[in-house]
Amino acid sequence: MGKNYLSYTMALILQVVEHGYRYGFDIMAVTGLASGTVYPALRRLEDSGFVASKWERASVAQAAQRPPRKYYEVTKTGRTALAEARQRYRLLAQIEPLATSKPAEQKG
Amino acid sequence: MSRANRKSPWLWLITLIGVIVPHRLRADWRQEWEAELLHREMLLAQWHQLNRRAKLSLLSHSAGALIDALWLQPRRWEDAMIQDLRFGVRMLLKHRGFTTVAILSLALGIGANTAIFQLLDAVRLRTLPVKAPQELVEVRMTEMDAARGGIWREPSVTFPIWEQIRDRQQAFSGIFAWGTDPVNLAPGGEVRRARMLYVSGDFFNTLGVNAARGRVFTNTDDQRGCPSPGIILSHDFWQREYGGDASIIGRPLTISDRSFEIIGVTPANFFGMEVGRAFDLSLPICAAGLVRGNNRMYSGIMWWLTVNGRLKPGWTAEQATAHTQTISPDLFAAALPADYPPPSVNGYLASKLIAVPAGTGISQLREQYEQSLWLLLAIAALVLLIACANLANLLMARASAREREIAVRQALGASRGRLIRQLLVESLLLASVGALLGAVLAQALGRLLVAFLSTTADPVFLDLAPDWRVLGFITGLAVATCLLFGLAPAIRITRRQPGATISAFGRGMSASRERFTFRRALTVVQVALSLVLVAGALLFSRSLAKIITIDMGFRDEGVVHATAVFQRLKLPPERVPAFKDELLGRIRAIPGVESAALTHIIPLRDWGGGSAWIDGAAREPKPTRLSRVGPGYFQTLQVPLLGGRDFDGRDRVGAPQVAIVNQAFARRFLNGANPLGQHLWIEAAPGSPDTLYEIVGFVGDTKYADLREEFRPIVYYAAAQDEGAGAGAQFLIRSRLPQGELVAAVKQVLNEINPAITVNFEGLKPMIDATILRERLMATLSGFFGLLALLLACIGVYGILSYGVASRTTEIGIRMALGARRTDVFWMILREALWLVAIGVVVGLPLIFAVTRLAATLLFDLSPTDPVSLIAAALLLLGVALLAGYLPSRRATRVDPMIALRCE
Repeated sequence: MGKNYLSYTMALILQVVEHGYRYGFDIMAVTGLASGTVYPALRRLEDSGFVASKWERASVAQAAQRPPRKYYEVTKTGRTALAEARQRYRLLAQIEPLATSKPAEQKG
Repeated sequence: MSRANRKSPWLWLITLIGVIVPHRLRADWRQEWEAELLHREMLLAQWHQLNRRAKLSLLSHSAGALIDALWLQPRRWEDAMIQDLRFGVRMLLKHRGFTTVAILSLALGIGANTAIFQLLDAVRLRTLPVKAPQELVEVRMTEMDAARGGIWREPSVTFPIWEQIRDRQQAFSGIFAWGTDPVNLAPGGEVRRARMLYVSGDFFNTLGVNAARGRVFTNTDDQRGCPSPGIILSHDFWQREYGGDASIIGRPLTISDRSFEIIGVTPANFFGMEVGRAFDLSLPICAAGLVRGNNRMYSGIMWWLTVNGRLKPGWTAEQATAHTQTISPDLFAAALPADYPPPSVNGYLASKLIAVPAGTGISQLREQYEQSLWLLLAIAALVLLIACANLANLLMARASAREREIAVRQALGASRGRLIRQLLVESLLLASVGALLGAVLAQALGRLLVAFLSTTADPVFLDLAPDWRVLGFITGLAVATCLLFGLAPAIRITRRQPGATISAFGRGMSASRERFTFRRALTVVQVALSLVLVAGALLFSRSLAKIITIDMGFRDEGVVHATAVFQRLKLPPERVPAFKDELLGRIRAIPGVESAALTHIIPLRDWGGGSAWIDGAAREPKPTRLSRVGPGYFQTLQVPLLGGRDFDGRDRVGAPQVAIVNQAFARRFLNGANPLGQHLWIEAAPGSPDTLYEIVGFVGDTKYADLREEFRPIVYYAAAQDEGAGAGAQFLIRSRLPQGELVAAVKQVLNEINPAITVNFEGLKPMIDATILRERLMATLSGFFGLLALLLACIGVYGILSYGVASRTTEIGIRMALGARRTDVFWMILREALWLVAIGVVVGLPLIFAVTRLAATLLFDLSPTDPVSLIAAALLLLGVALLAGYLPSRRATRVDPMIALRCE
């Protein structure tokens, strides 16, 4: 299995990132996956060039009195890979983005 | 920032786990996790949900960071290793001379070790390529002292014993017997030999070997009388003789005028049960009589079969032995031949069978060479050790050139561990390339060794394809050598204070004192190990020289041994003696032939023994060697006739039985009295009762079965008085002709008599030389390794002295300026070489005493502490040291005091 092969979990995480959950903990919350799964998956997605990471602007972090967070976004190749993965994992395509950009659990 | 001051437990956890994250990624990694945790904590606090459950969940989330950190571990290695490797390759390419020397000496050392190990693996360690080889045992006799008749190999059993074992045993799920016999494929003229493997019907099934083509034998193929024998080819034979023809099954193959249908071909990796000897053809045991033209193979006095069994599930070899021991008495009673010699009957009946593990097959090669090969492996390992010491020395010398580089890197913050790793990576690169080359070299060397052990009459077949053991061995060697030559220099080089080196300019010698001592110690080790190897080489060479120049009692140069078989002529037995005489007469008439004789036993190849006592004395049979020879035998081998007469035309069947004895016989049986006119008894043997012989001749002592043994008593009796002679004859022919011409002439003569006679030739001298192959192997290889060791020691001494001269230039300059003469300086340097060797010899001598004891049994007529060899080895090393020291010493005398001092 090549380095760029997407497992179901990886594809799910990629899709969640595409839907706007761009922080590690948000992804954990929305997928219910453990941190020991999500982070290594993000590292591998980044290695494969499917996601890119950026540091939050320092001013934003300063205002909230915490260190800057790292957020992830899907790249162009990542989008292609995700489209392919959706063909393979039909269930994946049926998961719709939630209406709000905030994780549901956080509101409750 | 108040929040950051009270650090929550999950943040502590992140700090802790962060320690194992690769250094390069650590800061980012910590920040990402901390930011996420803080953000979450803040959100939860905002929603007033920072309860116990939420805290636990935060803690478990941060524990997940450990998995994340573990996933990042490979990057730590990747990055640092690739850096180290790239740097290592660059450094090695920069110093091409050093790299070449290092790789070549490692390749040679690792190659030699691997070649010998490969051989050992093939003859000793590897199991047979059959199903579950660990379940196989050999059922053999505990001893064969009571075996009488034709003993083809030891241990072995007769056909009747095999039948009894097969019918009575209950310990094995399958059992089979096999034996080998060379057959001739040529219908006439010169013999074309093939190795025939006779097997019982269950052979292939029990081994779990299936046919690659056609089918293998089953029990129905091995029936008494052999109604429809098929023949099986080995894969090699099929390729060699038929070019791997696919339509081979069903075609006929003729052996001894009998046509056999080819029914199968065995798989390529199956060579039989004997390691070192591959079979060509296989027939059921019941067909042996058809090929040989008689049924002697099935008699109770032909010892030629090996019995193997497959243990029933859950049985051990010990349990099987207990079982075979229990059935032995009845079994041997049932198998006892009617005409067995009475004195041996009790011994025969008391024989015991045992089961020994046989998963690695049986091998004559193993018995002959295993000890030699282990010793050679030890010798080769020593050579590799010397090469490692040499490399370590070279690395230390190179370190002087690199110490600035290393000091600068240390000053810039490189840790010592990192530097050692960097230096070890360079060593590992050298060792890996050396091991790769060595592996290639080992293939060639291995084939060379097999060729060395092969003789025309007995070609050696060994599967040298590397298996996991060989690969593991090479890998182990590479790692071990790398650590041996790389670790100590790396540790020592990095031990220094960076400031001292950077500030020290010029060629001061004070700082390198300690390191220089280390290098001297390495040289002493090299000299000591070389001494062991050189002494070993001298011991084995002297042993070989002794065995080559040994007095055999006869001359083998110019003698050819010819075996003629005229089975196809179907002569009536009474015509055979006259026919043999005719052949002999025609051979003697060939111009250039000086003498020729019939013989039944070829010295140093065949063996026959019996027990004898002198007529008139008490009947106390003592062992003697027996040899049946014809007139002219002693003349042909140039054995001196000391008294009486040779055999001649009077000695026929029906005439009084006569014998000729040698000096050792007279000494042993007659206390040295003149044996002429005495009568001797030969104890009954299968097919012959006690027989009285008149001693008519007295000849010089000759070696009989083995060059290494002393002269033994021999009784010769007349070939013409043998009533049971078969349809073949062996001749010894002494001639002035080159062997090729003689062979052509004899072939022509025999062809004129009858083209259906087959004949086979062998020079007597090469045949006898082949019996001391082991001594030759040891002398050749230990000599080669000894030379290599000398060369390496020479390089070592030269290196250390050159370095000494270079680093002491200033000192030498001062000495000369103060009035030292050139000879003083010359001796000052050379003296060091002599000291190094002297200490090396003192260290090496006890090593020799410890090591050469292992070689004692491989030496002929020589003590392992033979003073001549030891002194010669020490002198040789001293000579080499002088040679190696000469150049640097000369260079020291050329130092110009003015230039040397100005440099400071």
